[in-house]
Order: sequence, then structure tokens, then C-alpha cells
Amino acid sequence: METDSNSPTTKKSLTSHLALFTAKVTIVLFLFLGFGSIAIILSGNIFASLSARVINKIESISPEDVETYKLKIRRAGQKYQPLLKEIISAWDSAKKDRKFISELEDEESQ
Amino acid sequence: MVFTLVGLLLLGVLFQTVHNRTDYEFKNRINPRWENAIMVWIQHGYFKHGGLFFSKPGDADPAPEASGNSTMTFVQVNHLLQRIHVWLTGEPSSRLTAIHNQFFTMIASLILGLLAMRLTLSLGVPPWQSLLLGIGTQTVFQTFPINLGVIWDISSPNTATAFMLLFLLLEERVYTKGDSPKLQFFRGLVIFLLFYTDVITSWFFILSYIMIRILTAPKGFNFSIVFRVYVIPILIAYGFYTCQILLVKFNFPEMVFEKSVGQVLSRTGFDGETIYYLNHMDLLHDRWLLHLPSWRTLFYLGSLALIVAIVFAQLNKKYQIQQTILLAGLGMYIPLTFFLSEAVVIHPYNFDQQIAWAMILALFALLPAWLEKYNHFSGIFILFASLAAFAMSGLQLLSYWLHIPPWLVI
Repeated sequence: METDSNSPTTKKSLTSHLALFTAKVTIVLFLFLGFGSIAIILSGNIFASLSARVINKIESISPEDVETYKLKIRRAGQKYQPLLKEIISAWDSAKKDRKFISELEDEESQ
Repeated sequence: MVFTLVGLLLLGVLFQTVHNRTDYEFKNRINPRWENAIMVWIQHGYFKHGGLFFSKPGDADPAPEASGNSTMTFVQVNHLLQRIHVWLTGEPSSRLTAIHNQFFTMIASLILGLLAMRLTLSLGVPPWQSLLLGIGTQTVFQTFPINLGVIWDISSPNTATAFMLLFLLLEERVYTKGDSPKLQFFRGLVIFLLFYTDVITSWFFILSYIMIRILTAPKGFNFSIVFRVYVIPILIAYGFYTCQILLVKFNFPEMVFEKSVGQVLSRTGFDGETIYYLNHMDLLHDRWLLHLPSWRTLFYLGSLALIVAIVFAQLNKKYQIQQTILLAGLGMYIPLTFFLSEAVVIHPYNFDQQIAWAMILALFALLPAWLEKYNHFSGIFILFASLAAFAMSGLQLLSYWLHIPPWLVI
């Protein structure tokens, strides 16, 4: 029996809508592929040139400067090492506390 | 004019994207052999060395060796440019070589674009739609990975492609507008340049083309034109080449040329050598593409389009020139691949573009044009073909860039 939903006019309209939708998706996809590829290449080139500059800068550091930087890093290490140790020990004790509490809770529930 | 502008624009885009490299990279990545030969000519005499390939000056070696396999026509524009550069700055420029190498692929691409436009116009496609198809075809061919790779090393078959396409463009004009002495002269000139640039691919191209024309020409084939347009220019090209060899022999009597007979045997694959090549099945692998990306997707889609386009031409019976031009591409490549299989397998970057142009022409111009014909030229297939060409070009650029990324040097 012919109803509104399966009448030839509705079917034709649905088909043309589907075709139009597919066409639009394809167009967007083609444009996306074209522009997207060029955008990736351009950003890649910028990244490559920046990386090249960084690498060049690192490679051009003189041995004397390397020694100076080494010393600076060591001094910073010595300065912040006690603080770092404190933070690590605090983190460890907090972890142990959490474990102990969860064990107690398990025992109570049993 | 439009195609030249598009070509130059694309060239600019290429040098801002995938070819955006440092001078250091150009200097160290470009194959130095042609630049060395050019410097030998500039510093020690072009005519003295007969314009042939010498890796070092003939005087420097007591028994010099040279390659007599090529006339070196394909580097003459670069030779001229480098001469000017050396005169101005005192040294050759690798960036100039890179621009020169890409300029040749631009020329071939714009001729293909123009050919695509003319072929689709004769199918009844409206002019602006034909222009779009032509530009699409040109863009895909100019960004074709093998053509992009030519920047690092140009060869005589790469250059010959431009002359083959120019010859087909003139033939299309003869087919649609009729022949004239002027057109015969220009075709003869192109045949001369073709043979003088690369003799091996030229023979395969011209013999197969004549055979196809004899089989498909509606009014028969005029053999007196064959003599004027083909035979005389070929003889002149051989004459020039012989003069080059004699000049070298005269200047360097101890000269030793590479054994060309042995080389032909190795190029057929019948010499028993199995290091690089085993049999014709190797044609299906991309082992020798080196760093260049594979173009299999385009190959399969293009093959399908080529078959469909030829079937359309056969069904209609009146679009002979489209069929002839597509068959000319196949007619050159298939026998070449069969007889000189080793050469084609290990040098895909020299020969693949000679089948790719026929596939790109079929896929991005002739097939959409024929589909439009059945769709009353509504323009929908032209739109899709143009956008598909844009997407394909972008993907080709990306794939090339990922395979050959820029060096991290300043």
C-alpha cells in the first residue's frame, strides 16, 4: 500500500538528498586532503627549520661554555637536592599511609 | 599563457613547500655528475670535449674515458645557466640546477595540461570546463612524485617526455585543423630534439606511434610526410651525434668509450646478471624507487580510466585522436618495458613518468569529459575531477615530503 513515506516523490526526494549529501562530503573531503596536506608540509618545514636552529645553537656551544653550564647544573643540583629528597620522602610516606588505611578498611569490612 | 602562469605558480608553491631546502642540502643531495661534466666544459673547453660526458678533463688522464651513450642535450640549458653563474660569481650553483630540473617538469606538465584541454574541447566540453580539466591534469603531473624527484637528478628520458608531449600536441592540431608546411617543420624540429635528447625512448615512441597511426588513421597514412617529418630529422640528429664522437676522437686519440653493446644486453636482462634484477616480475615491485614514494594507487586508478577511455572511444568510433594519444603512451612504454626490462626496473625514476602522463590524462581529463558528455555537460564531473586533482596533488606532495624530508641543517 502506498503511504507518504514510501511514495515515489518521497523516495526521489530522499535519493536526491542522499546524493547531494554524498557530493558535499566528497567535496569537503577533497578540499580537506588538499589544504590539509599543504598545511602539514608548511608546519613541518617551520618545525624543521626551528629544530635546525636549536641543533645548530647546541652544536656551536664552546667547550668552555659547556664546562660553565655543567658547573651551573651541578650547583643547582646541590642546592635543590635536599628539597627534592624531602618531597620524595613525603610522597613515599603518603603512599605507605594510603596502603595502611586501605588494609585497615579491608579488615574492618571482613 | 594560462598554463604557463599556472606552471610558474606551481613551481613557486613547490619551492615554498616540498623543495624549501637549504643551499647546503641542495649542494650535497643533488647528483653531482652533470655539474662536474658542465664544469669540465666550462673550465677546459666544451668543443674540445665534444659536449660529451667527461667526469674529469680529457687532458688530465693519459687514457681518458667518456660516456658515448648520451648526447648530453638534456643538460645544455643548465650548462648555459651555470656558465652565466660562474661568470658572475666564480662558482656553480646547485640551487640553479634544482630550479632548472624542476623547470623541465613544469614544461612537460604545462604541455600535458594544454593537450588535455584541447582533447576535451574536441569532445564538446565547454571551454572554461576544458580549461579546468587541463589545469587539474597539469597540477597532478607537476606534483607527481617521480617528477618532484627529478630535482635531485635529471636524465635524458625525463627531458624527452616534454618533447614527446609537444609532438603529440602538434599532431592533435594536425588532426583537428589539418596539416601545413609550418606544422610539418615544427614536428620535424621536435622529432630532431627528441632523438637528439634520448635516442632509445625516442625509437620506441616513434615506431609505436607510426604503427598506431597506420592502424587508426581514417584517411590513410602519407609516407612522404613520414620522410620529411621523421626520417630527415632523425638522420640530422644522428649526424650531430656522430660529429660529437668524431670531435672527441680527434682531440683525444686515446679515447675509450663505454661498451654500448654490452650495456644494451645488460639492459634487456639477458646477460645473466641477477644482483639488481631477476625477471619481468620485478616490474611489479618498487624496490628501486629509492627514497621516492610509490604511486600504485594512481597507477591502478589510471589504468582503469585508460581502459574505460579507450572503450568509450571504440564505442563512439569518431574520437580517434584521443584514442591515438592514449595508445601512444602505452605503445611507447609497454615495448620499452618488455625489451629493456632491466633498465626500467632499476631506473623507475627515469621511465615511470612516461606511462604516468597517459594515466593522468585519462583519469583527470578524458574520463570526466566523457562522463560529462552523458550528463549533458552539467559540470558536476568537471567539478569532482578538479577537486580530485587538487586532493591528489596535495597527497602527492605530502607523500614526497614525508619520504624525502628536509635536512635539519642551516
